[in-house]
Amino acid sequence: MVYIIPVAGLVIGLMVGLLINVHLPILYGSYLSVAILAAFDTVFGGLRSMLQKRFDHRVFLSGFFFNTLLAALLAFIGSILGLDLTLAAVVAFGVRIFNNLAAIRHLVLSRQKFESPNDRIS
Amino acid sequence: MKRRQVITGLAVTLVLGLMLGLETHIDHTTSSNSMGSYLAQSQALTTAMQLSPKLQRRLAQDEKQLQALQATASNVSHGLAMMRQELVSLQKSAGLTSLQGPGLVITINYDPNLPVIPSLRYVDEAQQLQMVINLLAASGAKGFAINGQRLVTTTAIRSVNGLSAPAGPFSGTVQVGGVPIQAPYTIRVVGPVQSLNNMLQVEAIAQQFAILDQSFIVHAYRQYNGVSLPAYDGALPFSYITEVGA
Repeated sequence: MVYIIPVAGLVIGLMVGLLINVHLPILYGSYLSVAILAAFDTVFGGLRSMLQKRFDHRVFLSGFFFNTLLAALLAFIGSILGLDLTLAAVVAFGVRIFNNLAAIRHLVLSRQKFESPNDRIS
Repeated sequence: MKRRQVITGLAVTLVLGLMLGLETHIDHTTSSNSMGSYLAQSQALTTAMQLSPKLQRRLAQDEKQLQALQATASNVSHGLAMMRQELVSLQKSAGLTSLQGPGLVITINYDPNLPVIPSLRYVDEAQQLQMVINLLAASGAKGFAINGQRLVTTTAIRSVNGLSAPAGPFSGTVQVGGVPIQAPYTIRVVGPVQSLNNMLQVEAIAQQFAILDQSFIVHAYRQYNGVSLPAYDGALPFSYITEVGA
């Protein structure tokens, strides 16, 4: 139940996004991409905190929206300044996402290890 | 506490899904994707400014070519119109169109009341008709028709007499342009009425025909639509031949 509701939310949001009749200018494509990357980073960070029993929904929610908007804003400012800050954001968020995924993997594996009956016997 | 976490997760995933869905509305395959920054836009502008004079020169060349082609097309259409006019004129003078104007209607027929001169009865009717046509043509006739058959420059007037044909006037068959005609012969001619009449008078054609037991009656029509001639509808000389090597 805890995992079904977020998945359902993702599916519903995806369907709404696909079905909505809106034409986004190509100029905003890079901003939206960076925003999505920031959102993924926050989501994976939240999963990591959840596994580490340090999840705070206020931090997660504020981080999600703040990071997303900030990433898009930075990309926009970069385009005004003539700097490709999108690339910097992609690198930064990419590193963070991989770190979070690695941590999640470690946490999941270590949890399975401690929960296995053989480990308990030994 | 757990309920808040679920609501938070739902909100986050909803927004994330919405953003992913919106992302699909953007076409990333177009080359304009690289226009996301002012740097790329300025580079594109510089390239466009460098390309602009070349395109303008090309446009000017194309316009010149278009004008030349239009001038050529105008000449061609003018030449075509001239050729059409000439074709109509040639068709008219060749007898391929109907003709109307002042002229004469001559009727030649056997007249039993005329004195019989047996030795002169064996005449070639085609030659008689040809003689009349030649005289009329020499006096300015514009067109002829014998018994409704329009005469053109290549029309032959022939007598087709078999060995068993009976002797006497109008005994044979005359062909005008290959079409058999029978007496009485009606020659319709368009041309200067006075000149045509004078020629017939001077040559005493009526008297010549009278010797041959034939009446030669001339009616003059001086109105602009006095005599009507049909268009020649027979075969033309080049209808049945093709150019060698064409």
